[in-house]
Amino acid sequence: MEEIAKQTGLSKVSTHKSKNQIFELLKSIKRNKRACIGLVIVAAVILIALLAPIISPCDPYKQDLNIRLAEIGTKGHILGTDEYGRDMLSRLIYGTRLSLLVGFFSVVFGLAFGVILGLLSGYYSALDTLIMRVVDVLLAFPGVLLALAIVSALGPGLVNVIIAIGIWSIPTVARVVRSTVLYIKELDYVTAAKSIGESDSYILFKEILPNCTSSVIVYATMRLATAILSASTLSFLGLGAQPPLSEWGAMAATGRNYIYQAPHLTLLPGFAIILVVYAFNSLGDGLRDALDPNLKNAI
Amino acid sequence: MENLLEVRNLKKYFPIKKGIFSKTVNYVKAVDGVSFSVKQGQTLGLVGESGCGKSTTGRTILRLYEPTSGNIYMEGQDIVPLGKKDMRKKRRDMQMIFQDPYASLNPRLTAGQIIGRVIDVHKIASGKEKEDLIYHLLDVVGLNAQYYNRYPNEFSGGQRQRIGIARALASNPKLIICDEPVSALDVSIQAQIINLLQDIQSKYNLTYIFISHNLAVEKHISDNIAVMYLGKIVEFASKDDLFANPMHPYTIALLSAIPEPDPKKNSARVKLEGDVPSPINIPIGCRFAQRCPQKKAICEEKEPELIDTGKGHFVACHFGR
Repeated sequence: MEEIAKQTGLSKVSTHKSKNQIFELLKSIKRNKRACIGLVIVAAVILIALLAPIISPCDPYKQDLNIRLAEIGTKGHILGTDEYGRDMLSRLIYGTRLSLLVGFFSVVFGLAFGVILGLLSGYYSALDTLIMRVVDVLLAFPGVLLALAIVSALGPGLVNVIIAIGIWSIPTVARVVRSTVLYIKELDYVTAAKSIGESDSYILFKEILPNCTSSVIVYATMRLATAILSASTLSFLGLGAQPPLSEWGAMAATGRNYIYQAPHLTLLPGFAIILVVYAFNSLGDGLRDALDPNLKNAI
Repeated sequence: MENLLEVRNLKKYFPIKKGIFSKTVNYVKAVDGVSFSVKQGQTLGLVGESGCGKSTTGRTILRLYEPTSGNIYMEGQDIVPLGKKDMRKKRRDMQMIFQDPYASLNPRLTAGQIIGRVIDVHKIASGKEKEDLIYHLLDVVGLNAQYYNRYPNEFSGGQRQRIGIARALASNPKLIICDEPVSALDVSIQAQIINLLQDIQSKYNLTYIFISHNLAVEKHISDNIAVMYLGKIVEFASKDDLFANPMHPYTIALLSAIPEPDPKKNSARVKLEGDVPSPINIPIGCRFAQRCPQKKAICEEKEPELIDTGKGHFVACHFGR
């Protein structure tokens, strides 16, 4: 009974709050043109990924060797076809799904471990040195090289790409969270929580973590762009998505063989990657400005 | 009347660490041997300039900082050796009100949740009973019931401080440490909060340790006042005694610095030269010697002890009358 009352009470409050917050957030994004464009593109891309089977004109895996390497503007295939006569537009649309999935899951993977490591190392100074030295080791590798090494060790495939990029995200997430925790744990409301006798785990997850979210959200949005780009890079190198999967990086890689006869095979997936990466980056920038209370008052 | 709290030779040193192996090279001696006692229902004022260790003393008493050495007797029981679990239970009796009402409330919790956490942690009430208790506490501190579901950013500084007071009251404590509870508020609100603190003190028979650098406020609220300088108490007396008959040269200088409302009244102002010495390298002898207008040879050789000069007026000065 008490639990239910507590839960309903809490959920009522939090929906009221989150509604308010989202509204405020949208308002400040609206003021920032670049973030606005980013948000619109991101929303469009997510919609395209969700509706892929409905909006794509053809089956992305259906080959038609009679119309190989058709140019842009060919009837029935607006963006032409690839070396097996598969519809480029449909393949690009389905590629959206893969890119978003890989980006999303690798960032979630990185966040899950990075946030916990960051919380622990920021809060418990005894663990700090140990965790941060391990993080330093991971940070010492050039980004894609680390992912490359991990995929080489695990073997090619999308799941392994997700794991590799996730691991690559851990150290930076941990750093970002740690620095926020170091700041928050000195604030009086954390001291107040200690003085009323709250447990460490409550303080970590209920007092400190919720107040870290804004920096984590900003970082995650920007990281999504990097993750999508790196996943495409790995696929381009043949370590990620395997044929016949329509992944942008892999499409660009196979298209490279026909770059003189049919440049659109390489260019279109390239443009798609640029667009999505740009959109997530702009949105991340906008969110940072919107969620940073110091900047908010300055404008 | 019985002593509710007795602090004996409390020390808090913060280590300064350097190098890759975090070797401790030195200590900041923030609190360096403080002893005093407070009777049930009374208010002890802790005064001193910034950095003299008064806030650290307050927080160390609550074991928010682990004391380096010393004893803290709460109703006769030493709380320093208490384990985590026992200490958590003991916290019910000892609460704190913070200086900055903007930093002391979690921005992600509503007023009701902030107060409710104390009730949850100490399993005081639940369900409807808990809710009623929170409404009652809001009422006691003079806040409208409709504020229950509001977030801290919707409140003014004074209202936030009232929430902080309600939180401190929620566990029905015996001792409340007020760490400069009014210095972040503007003057009209200061008066309201101080009156509120006095009201609830008489209502619940609370004992306060009131930390402040504002002597006028201390004069209003305290029964006894301890003057701190560089981590030590230099003078301890009842309020009336201290203001009428200050003995330590530092106290005399402090009292002469209180602004006089009447501009024609010409009071002798004792001006102190120099700065407070660093709490890392505390001078030998009397800590105040370098700045003392009455310095003699002995002051730089021997540290004076806090001695009772009669009627419970303690002073740590070789020449205290």
